[in-house]
Amino acid sequence: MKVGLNFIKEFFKVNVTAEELAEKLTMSGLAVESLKKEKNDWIFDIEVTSNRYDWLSVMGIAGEAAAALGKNVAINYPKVVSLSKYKDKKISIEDIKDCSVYTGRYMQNVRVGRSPGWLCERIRGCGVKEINTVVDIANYCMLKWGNPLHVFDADKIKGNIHIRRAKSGERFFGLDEKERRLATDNLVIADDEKIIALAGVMGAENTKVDDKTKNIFIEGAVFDPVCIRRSRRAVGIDTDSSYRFERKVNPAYLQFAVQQTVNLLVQLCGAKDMGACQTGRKKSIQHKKIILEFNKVREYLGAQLTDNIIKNILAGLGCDVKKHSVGKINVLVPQHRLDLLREVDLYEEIARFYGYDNIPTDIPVISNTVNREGLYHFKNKLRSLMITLGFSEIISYSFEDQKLLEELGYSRFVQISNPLRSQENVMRPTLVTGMSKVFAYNFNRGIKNCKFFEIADLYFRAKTITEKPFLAVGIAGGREEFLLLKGVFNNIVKYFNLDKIIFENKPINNFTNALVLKINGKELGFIGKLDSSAAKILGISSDFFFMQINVGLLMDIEKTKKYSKFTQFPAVSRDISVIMKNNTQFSIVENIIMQSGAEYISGIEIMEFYKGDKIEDDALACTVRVHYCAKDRTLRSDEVDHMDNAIRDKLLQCSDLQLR
Amino acid sequence: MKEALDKINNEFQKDYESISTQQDLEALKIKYLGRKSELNGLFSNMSKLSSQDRGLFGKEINLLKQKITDTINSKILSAEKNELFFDVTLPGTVNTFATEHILITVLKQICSTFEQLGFSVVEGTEMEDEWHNFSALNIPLEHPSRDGFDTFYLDSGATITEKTGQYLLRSHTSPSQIRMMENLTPPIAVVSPGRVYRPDEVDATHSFMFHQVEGFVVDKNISFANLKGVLLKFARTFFGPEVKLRFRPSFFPFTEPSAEVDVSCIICGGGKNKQIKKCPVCKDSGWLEILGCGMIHPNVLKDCKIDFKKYQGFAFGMGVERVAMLRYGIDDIRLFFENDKRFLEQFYVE
Repeated sequence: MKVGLNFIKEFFKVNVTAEELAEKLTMSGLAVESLKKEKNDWIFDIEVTSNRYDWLSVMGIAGEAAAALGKNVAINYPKVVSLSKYKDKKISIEDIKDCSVYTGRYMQNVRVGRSPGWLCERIRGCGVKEINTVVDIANYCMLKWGNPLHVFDADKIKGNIHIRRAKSGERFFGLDEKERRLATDNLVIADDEKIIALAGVMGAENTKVDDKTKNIFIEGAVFDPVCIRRSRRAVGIDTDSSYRFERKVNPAYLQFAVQQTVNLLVQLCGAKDMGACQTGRKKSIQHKKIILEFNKVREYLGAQLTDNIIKNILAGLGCDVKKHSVGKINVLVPQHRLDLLREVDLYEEIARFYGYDNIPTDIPVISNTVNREGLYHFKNKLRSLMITLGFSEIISYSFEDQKLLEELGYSRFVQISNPLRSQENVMRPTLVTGMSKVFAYNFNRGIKNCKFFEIADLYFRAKTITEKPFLAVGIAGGREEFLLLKGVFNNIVKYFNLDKIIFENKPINNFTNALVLKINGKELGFIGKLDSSAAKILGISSDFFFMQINVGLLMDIEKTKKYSKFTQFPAVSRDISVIMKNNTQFSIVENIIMQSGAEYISGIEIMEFYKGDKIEDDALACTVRVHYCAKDRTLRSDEVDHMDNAIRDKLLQCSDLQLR
Repeated sequence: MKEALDKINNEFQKDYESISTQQDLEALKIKYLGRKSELNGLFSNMSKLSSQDRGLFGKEINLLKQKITDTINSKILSAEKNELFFDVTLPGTVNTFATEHILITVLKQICSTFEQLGFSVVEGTEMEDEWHNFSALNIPLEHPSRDGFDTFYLDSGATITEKTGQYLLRSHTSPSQIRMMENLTPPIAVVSPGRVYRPDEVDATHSFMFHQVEGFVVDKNISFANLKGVLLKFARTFFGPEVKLRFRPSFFPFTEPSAEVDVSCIICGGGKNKQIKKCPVCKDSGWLEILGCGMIHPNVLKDCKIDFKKYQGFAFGMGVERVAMLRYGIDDIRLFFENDKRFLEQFYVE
């Protein structure tokens, strides 16, 4: 809310500079976002928190400012004159829940003109445009007291006043010169023929006060906050009036706001007050009584406040403080503070005016029954492994385009009901789209040699909705990158000390040459090369290799490490050169070697692949080095030769293999 | 003997002039200095000489041996020089190192600061319901206090109960506070980091996805002074030992009293650094807003079935992007999610 310093000065004598006042207000919870000098006034732009409807009035802000400076405000409550009842119009309220009280004031012979300078300055300082004397006076009183009012051209109202819900499809042409279709969520003010206002939100063009207006009807009412909120949201308008009604208005000030409007209209426009009418009842405000214990205040805030400081702060806020019993007081909160309901609300008021900065700092001994959570730390371990292996971390959006995912063959998504854009309308069930977009982004900028990983949740929809953490690893380049990813996975197996992994050659949607990673019968993830149609959909121009692993499953099978003895005796090696014909896979060679009964094999290593003269097109020559080692002695040369020969025999038994 | 020495010397000179390759040089070395060389053979003949001659002659042999050695070595040295010419002015190899995402680094640093104080890290879920994101946090339905929390709702197909309300993407990390308090008995001290979502149009300072860290403590005798103490300790560990904090009264539905916390500007030191005029980061206010906090509202404790007469607590929450942007002078939030390699590689794990 914007307010000028001169308006605040109507309530008390401000004896500090505007800057000092801004600082005081900020430190007591009225954050001054900007302070500007305008002519001979200072304009404060204040962020009002949603709990303090009273700060949506200049009176409320002045009260706070005065309390912060240790001063009192002088409020000139206008004398409420109850003239003879105005009988020409009957007011009917359809549902008292929507509108608890509706008052009308009829005035004749109003001169509509331009407002005097002081009035223009006041409302302009609050960011409200001047329109004409009548409207400006109503706005001035709203700003001052916090109660929105509306003024109709009384001659344009036909018959009685009805406060009712709109019928579905009814039309409303507002003062903003826009037409809207209403529904039953909208509360309206109508006469016998037409809608004359969208209650609490905006008046209608058809009863607008203009230069020709002679007689006016002033509306002062209390509307239900939720009702107004729904109504204005349904038609997409937010006005100074609805903003206040939504946050509650204080019924106690309604009569003052109306009376001052009447007084000013008499004074400035020569209007004649013809009487009031009212339907509904002003809800009587119960002055909340809170019992406060001094020791509790000190304990809760952790500050050694004396009883007197506490009492003085509360009194300064307008509370009526009386002794309750030993160490306790009865606090009667003032009528403008409907937000003070319980002890903690008073603790806050005491802390605010004592000064948050004056409360000491004290580090408590933290006791905790909560166990260290595994997942967060497991993900960090995985993260540091990936970085050690040379992959950089990315963070991509959790949203994805449903159309794109459907093109890739995914179905069943967690959908977003109110997406910002259609490209971000579902929660992603895969990390490949986010990862490949990052590669495409970098490629398009000429940035190559990307090796990325991401750890993020995926979202699944079955009977219920679930989210699970996954690891994605991506790399672009030649076919050897597939083996790099396989190697990375082997590193993961080693790092987390996993049981034996099975690589299963199995087709995966959108990938060629895919391998499914299995452990104890469970699918942990997969490695694959993005196939050309998926690459096209995802805008990737080079070969792209991708691995995705279920992090939760990985964590479940992680095993603690123990030292295992290694042999002190040297290993002996023998090389075997084998030609694999008819596209025989290496795993066949590997299995034969490993299962050949050679109990001393400590490992095998591929020395080279060879393709060329003398080797047929669908064959590949490969030199494998087999390492032999015993735990208790150095192996003799003849022992190793014996094992080597046994392997060679076994290899020869396979018709697709040939030794060189 | 003298003749023998002269002969060796002459032969050596001749041989030495005729060598052309490294092998020749090696051969020369073996011929004249090796174990079976003529020169070595002379030593074994010395036993036949008188002790006086032996001393004199021994000296002569050694002199010649030294001369041959020096000549050969100088040749080797010059050969090596030529062969091992290496241009040390060539640029160093470009080594790339992998990097952790800067947001994760900052998030981890925030969490570990609190872990050192005795907090546990527990991550919540991103898909939540209205009860945990709003109602249990004392944010009633249809209340203006919800306006600050515009939210993405989910069409989940899952059954909605009156209590849980609709499914949504959490708009802050506070729902994990509720989940913890529902399931655990105090004392509790937890920090909960993660992704949060709000339907904000993307620009330099807004993103519909960002990260927060939520923290809270529930125990007997927890006071507002404790909240101040813990956050000051955090700020000094995280931003530096000299920073100051400023607590400003504010409003959050789930805390009472509530505060917004500013840290003295980490760029201009809150005006202390006289060299910086017109600080672009704090706009000369000297303060940077970094987090919101307060004492947990009794309604929140009550909804989580915690006896609010016996226990009280504090809670706080901060945006990871904001902290990272302040600390590293990053001026556009979109950089975090574009994942440009040139951006990612500027940060490494500290």
